[in-house]
Amino acid sequence: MMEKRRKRICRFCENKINYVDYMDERLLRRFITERGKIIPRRITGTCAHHQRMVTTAVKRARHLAILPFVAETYK
Amino acid sequence: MSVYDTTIILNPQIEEGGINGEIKKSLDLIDRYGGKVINEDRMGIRRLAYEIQKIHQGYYYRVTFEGTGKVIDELERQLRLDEPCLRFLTCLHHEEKVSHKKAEADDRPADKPVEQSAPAETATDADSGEEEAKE
Repeated sequence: MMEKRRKRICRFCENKINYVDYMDERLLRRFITERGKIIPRRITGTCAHHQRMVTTAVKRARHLAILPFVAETYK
Repeated sequence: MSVYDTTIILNPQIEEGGINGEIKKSLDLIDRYGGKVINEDRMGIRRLAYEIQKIHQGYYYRVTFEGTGKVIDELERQLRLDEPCLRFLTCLHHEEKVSHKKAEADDRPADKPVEQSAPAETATDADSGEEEAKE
């Protein structure tokens, strides 16, 4: 059974950010795993509205080869 | 008429004059079909996250322009046929975008593991929580 965690505020709502730029590699890297997969919002604490923006931005960045589709992992 | 952003990745191995020529071709096309160029952002050469047509680096260029759908159609048609153009992406412009310096982007290689990973942090918290509960 999951313990009750402290409420995590969406970092975009907190800073009143309305747009997630697909060219912002530094920001978007925080929302993908080492493998390059998008992290679910129950872990990052993002709200649904901004999570959709993040997802669109990540997918656009992948198309423009700013982020990988699949990242190589070291074994 | 709406404002659009088109980001283009060009093959950096063509000579410098070639890249400027390609950019000028796109700008002329926008003007020719009734669009108005608002802003340009030459982001320079950066490492690609994966290879495209066996190339590992690309010259990134973004143009913000106002135009109709026809302008976009013609621009994309030309980019699709153009050999030095590796990728392009057109989307609606949003005011809060900032122009990006290439220095930040070039520093980190694409295959380096991400420094912070949220799942690892969460796992650590969960593990420590369980250990405390057992004790």
